[in-house]
Amino acid sequence: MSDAYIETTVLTDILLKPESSKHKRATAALKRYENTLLPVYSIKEWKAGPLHNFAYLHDKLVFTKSFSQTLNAISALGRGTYLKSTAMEALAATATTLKAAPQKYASLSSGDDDLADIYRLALASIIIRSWRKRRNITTRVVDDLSCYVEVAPRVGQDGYFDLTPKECDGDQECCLAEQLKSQPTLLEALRKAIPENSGRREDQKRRQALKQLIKHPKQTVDRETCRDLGDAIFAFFCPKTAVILTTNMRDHQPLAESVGKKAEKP
Amino acid sequence: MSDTGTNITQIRVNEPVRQFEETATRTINSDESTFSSASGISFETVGATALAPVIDIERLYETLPGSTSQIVRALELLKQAIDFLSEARKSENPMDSDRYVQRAQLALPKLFACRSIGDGFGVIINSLYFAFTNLHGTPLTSDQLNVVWRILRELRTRPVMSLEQGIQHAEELENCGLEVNPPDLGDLLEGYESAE
Repeated sequence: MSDAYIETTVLTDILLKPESSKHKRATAALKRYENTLLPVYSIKEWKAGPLHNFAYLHDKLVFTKSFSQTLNAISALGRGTYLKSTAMEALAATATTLKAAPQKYASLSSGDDDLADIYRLALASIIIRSWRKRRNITTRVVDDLSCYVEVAPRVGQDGYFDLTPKECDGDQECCLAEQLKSQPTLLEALRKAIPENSGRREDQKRRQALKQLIKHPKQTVDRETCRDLGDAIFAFFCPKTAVILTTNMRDHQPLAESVGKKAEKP
Repeated sequence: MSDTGTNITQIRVNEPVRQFEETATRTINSDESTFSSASGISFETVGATALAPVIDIERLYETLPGSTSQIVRALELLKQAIDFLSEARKSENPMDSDRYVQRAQLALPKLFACRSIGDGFGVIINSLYFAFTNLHGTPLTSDQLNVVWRILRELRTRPVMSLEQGIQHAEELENCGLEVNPPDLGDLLEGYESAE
């Protein structure tokens, strides 16, 4: 395969994990392919997920003006928030390191409010810079979504990030609806690839969304259905000449294989 | 027009100060621009009718005895850092050059303390700090040195800049191979990879 269809996880590793091993793996992987194709659906998911999480953390720092209070607040959210518990440990470790370092040279400051500002500014910077880079990391951006507008994140007068819109326009039918409905066989194959008895909420929602498309093709496909389809969108729209490049093989591999396509890790 | 009926030139922080002569005396060609300096004020003449004195940054934020203004402090610190970087650029010995750069780095925590000047200012200082941190002591290349020097000079000329403008400078640092993010920032995310 000479083409790669870039899924959200890889986009995230490239844009929001600078200098990490994941970033290096992902950027190296892009070089393996002649063409790298970034669907706008990836951008949409990335903005609504990982980028939103960074903005949340930024806003929490703005609100509390305290590094330690932000850590406590995030820890209280627990799992399932996309913010890693180990990330909090990492932040705590950084704070400890900065406090232990010689004040004169090794750190900007060790005060709680200063640390809050260090991370607030760093987060604001990476959110805006990563947004600007998003369309330049692959050879092409494909599968534009006419019902979704890519609006840059902006900091309001109040200091908080505004990431709207994170969803498609709710007033019109999903622009992918027609193409999806035209291939019920593919939809059925994708549905069968999701374990019927899966206890995962995202699996249940995906199966339900696919069922709706198969059984009620005349019904309008709204933005919630489109969002629930999630990983199935990649398997459906990935060109036959391309592989889905993802770090989430567990979800993407069975879906891709069910429609005669392939998923690869970076 | 002021309440007293007189025109008062407004001075803005980010703009050169221009005063417009209203005598309409035509002394030079309209496409000529000349500068003259008196007591730190540069007079720019654009065309015949406009004399535009550009007040030097030193005069605009002149230090008053006992002044604690953050902007004055920042300008002093930036000057020190720029002077060290200028020496570093001139130096032909890489070790000497690196020593000057290290001295310039010492100003960063103090400059960060002046971040209430604005988020653009804060982002640049923050980015520079992490750029140096992520180098782990590796000296700057001559290209990187030039970019850092140029950005600090620009910051000294326009210390009050927007977040957006500050981020543009962070991008310049990034484009010359400097890593401007906190080293642990990438660890903050989970979610999508949890399914791996």
